[in-house]
Amino acid sequence: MGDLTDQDLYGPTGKPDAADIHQRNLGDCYFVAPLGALATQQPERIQDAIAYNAETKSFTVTLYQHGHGGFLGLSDEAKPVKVEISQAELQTDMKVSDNLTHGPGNARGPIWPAVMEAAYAEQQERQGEGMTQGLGRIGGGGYPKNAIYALTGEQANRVSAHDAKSVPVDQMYDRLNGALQQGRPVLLSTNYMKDVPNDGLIKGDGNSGHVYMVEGATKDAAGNVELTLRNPWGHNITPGMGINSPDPITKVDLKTVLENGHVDELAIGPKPPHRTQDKDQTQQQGHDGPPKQAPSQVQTGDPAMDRLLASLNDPQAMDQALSSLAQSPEGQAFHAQGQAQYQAMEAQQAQQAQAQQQQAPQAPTGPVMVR
Amino acid sequence: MSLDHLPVSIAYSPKTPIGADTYPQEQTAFVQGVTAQAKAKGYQVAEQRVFVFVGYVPDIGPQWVVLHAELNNQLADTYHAEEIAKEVSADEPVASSFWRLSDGQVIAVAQSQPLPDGKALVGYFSLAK
Repeated sequence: MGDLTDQDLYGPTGKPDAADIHQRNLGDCYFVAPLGALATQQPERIQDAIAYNAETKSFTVTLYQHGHGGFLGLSDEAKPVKVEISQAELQTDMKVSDNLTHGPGNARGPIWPAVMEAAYAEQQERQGEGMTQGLGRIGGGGYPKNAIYALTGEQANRVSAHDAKSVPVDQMYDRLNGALQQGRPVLLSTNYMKDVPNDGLIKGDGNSGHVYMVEGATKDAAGNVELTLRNPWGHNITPGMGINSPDPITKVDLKTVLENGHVDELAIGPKPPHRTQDKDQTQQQGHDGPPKQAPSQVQTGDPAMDRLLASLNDPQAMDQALSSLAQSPEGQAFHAQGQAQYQAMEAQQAQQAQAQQQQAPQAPTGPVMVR
Repeated sequence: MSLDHLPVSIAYSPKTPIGADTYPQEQTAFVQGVTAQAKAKGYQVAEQRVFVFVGYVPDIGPQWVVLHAELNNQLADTYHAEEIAKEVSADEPVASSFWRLSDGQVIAVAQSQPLPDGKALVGYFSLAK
């Protein structure tokens, strides 16, 4: 097989399309479903995330991970990470995961899902591991919220089944339909059902649920809300699992799948990015903001803190004062302490996640592992 | 329990195990790969059945993730099986899972790399210490 280039990324439309994904070998519906939903709602995000380097014949993918920002670097801030995918790594993904559509004959479909998946696998690799191990890590199930964050750098709004059931169904319709109209990706995660369901969703795989892309929401005159879902498998032929259709699209009654316990949660991703417009709005707000007040005359005895207080009405001076405070010995110590606390918290969460994965059967508390 | 009692997926064609003369080279490499994985876990292959996996939708072809769900649910429901290990690989087999049944028997199910015609092999392996 020759080298793959940016000419191979997309199909005839020149854009990513949810139908380009056929989840085959990895249990990573929690990643490919958000990826497909993003392709439908915000294809430009994916196009912007992938760059091809003709010189190195590699792809560079921008993903996001939790970083530190804000005051003294203590707040959680998405950190863009450039992940380079070589031809060999891409071929490994296509061999191990093989989640691309296959065209007539054995022609290959658009490769953007493989490029994105390989980048996500590389992001999850641990020191000394390669692409196969990374794919193994992402292929054992996970959570859509983590994939949405990695793809967009923004947190998803999660609506648990419990919360969704506690409001009238037409209110949920307004929320979901509104999100889709705003161009947000919307995902529906399921619980594993012990009995074979008859509600349009699959039973699940041994205590794990599944994730669908929500592509539409309609409400009839009687107030029944129907969701149009796409299965990342590329079909819904599921022997003994509750549905048997070659169509990847399935329609479900929202009230039914909430009340029978099949839905675990709905995740609503961020709006399409409008960074230039946001910047303009910020500048506009700056011009029209409240009148400036006199700088604080309070003296704390700490020169860095006093400079900060004196700069409260001058954004540029405040920026310098914050930098100065952050670089001071006290600021550095505070930063280090905060980072240590954050790392300890992350390590604890990782341990808890690992312990949860090792438990079998898994207790259905919180979001359910999906694959 | 005999391997003949394990569920046969609708995604296999034919619905009966193939002989060693079907896809002989690919089958040899596939079985060797599974045998090596089993050995690394302290087991040897005692018995095997190999099927041709055409997939649930012919245009899409073999999908381990769907087969795994189908078998995992049936093994759990019928034999109270517990999945004890799973692997993916760029070599043979591309994916494999190991289950311990309620009677203590350990079985492996694995899928091969794609065959030249786009299909794949699926093997059921009874493992012994």
